[in-house]
Amino acid sequence: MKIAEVRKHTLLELVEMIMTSETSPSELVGLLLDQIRATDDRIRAYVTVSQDAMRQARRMDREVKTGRKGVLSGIPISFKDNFETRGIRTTCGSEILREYVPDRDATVVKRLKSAGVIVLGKLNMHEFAQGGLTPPTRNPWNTECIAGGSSGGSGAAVAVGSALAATGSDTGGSIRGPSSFCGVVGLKPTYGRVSRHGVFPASWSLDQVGPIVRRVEDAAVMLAQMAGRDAMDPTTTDLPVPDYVRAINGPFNGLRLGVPANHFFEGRDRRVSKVVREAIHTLESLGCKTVEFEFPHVEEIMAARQAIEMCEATAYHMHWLATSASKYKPDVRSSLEQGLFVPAVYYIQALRYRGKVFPEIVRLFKKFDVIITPTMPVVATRTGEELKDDTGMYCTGSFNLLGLPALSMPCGFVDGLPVGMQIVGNAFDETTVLKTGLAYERASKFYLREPLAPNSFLTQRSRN
Amino acid sequence: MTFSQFLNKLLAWRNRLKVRSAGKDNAENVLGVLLDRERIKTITPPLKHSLEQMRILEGIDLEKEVEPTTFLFAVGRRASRQ
Repeated sequence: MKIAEVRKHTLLELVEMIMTSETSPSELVGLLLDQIRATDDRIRAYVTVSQDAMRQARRMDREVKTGRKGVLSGIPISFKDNFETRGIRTTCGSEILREYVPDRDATVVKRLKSAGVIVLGKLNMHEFAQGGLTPPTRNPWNTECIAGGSSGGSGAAVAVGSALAATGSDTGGSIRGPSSFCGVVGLKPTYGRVSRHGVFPASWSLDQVGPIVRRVEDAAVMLAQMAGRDAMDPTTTDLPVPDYVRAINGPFNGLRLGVPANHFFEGRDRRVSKVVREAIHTLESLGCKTVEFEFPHVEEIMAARQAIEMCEATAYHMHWLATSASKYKPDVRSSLEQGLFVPAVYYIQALRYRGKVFPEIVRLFKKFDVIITPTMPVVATRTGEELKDDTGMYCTGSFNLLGLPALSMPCGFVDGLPVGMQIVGNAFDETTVLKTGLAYERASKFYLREPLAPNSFLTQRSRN
Repeated sequence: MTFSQFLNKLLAWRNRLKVRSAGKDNAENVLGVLLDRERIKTITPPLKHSLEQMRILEGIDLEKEVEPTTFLFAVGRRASRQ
């Protein structure tokens, strides 16, 4: 089998193929290792490739012969480098943690391992998920462009086929932004749906972790394994975790799409907005009804999010700022030092405002089922060109303050670079978000598009 | 000496002590982090921009009973019952 063929299948289809001996965990790991070797000198998605992956895969080859070990038996997965992985270096993209090897797994890593996954490696990210640059990962659709961040390695690896699935973390758009720029699917679940234990924080009360994958159904199956109450993370909910895959595969009855008339479609590049509006027309052709509305208090929500992130991030980094400041990258150091000067009263007012505005936004969902916006107001910029002002969080940041679930998925191209559509749902209603995404994916089939020169990226070598 | 004058003297002494022990002249001790003039000059423009954006928080009308929501856990549970 070739990697191009593997990429035509969902994760669950690959598990079935493992169970029927059409492929094996070791074949999948071998193909991915080949793909890393073929692409990573240009894409630089990986910080660490697990030396143990093939051994794990061979053990799994033997185990699956006696039956399925979990929902994701034998599937290799790569983790953003801020997820603690026992025995595998976890650097957070920082010189400060260059040699840190955790002796425990993050809860999400532990859960995915229990579901049968093989840890393939660790993926590049913005240093501590902060700052404005994505060093050094490149965008597979155009290697002159950034992959976005902070989960840039995750987006790029999934796009170029050096990972079948990955994880990310999202404080203002760090799962959705790189998913949009790299043309893949990324889901930020509801705050409290997935444990953050063992994931290095950017901002405790805004962070959420989720999957970055190629297909919506892959996001559903990953979320189902990652989600649920965790005694180690007191913010996790004890609400039951739905069977997302079953729930989203039922008939798609037209939903009401909330489309903001203000802010979100008024971004920097009108061509991006146009592509997303075309995607909305596709959903309308599937029976959805559009409800235009005014999204209230965007400026206040964004200001509150910023105050919270600056204060919480700086608080977390106080020790290293005092002892190892010179080890930070300049933009990250500057951002963290600025947090020293944000008045505590702003922080408290922002937290108070969150409690006030949340019910108002949730009430909007009586008028529609999901909100549709562009994920990013632009396509990926050239490396070295920082995203201006709040561009990186322009469409995504609000939903971190509000904790709402949001999916980014590819919906078209501008200048040969992918455009992402963001689908936002009510709290803990990931099912409707994923269901809308799946309906659109089946109609649009953007997952069949490969980065610009697939033959130069997708290895031609066949195994077996 | 008033209490606030005493407090200012104490803070200035603490600052000098920290700066001197680190061997860094012309540095300020900000919440335990030493920032020399060059650092302060570097971060001032983006900080000013951020603080200007956050000023909108001063104008938000919050009823007295509104308490901080640090973690959305409780809010999320409430929302899920709606």
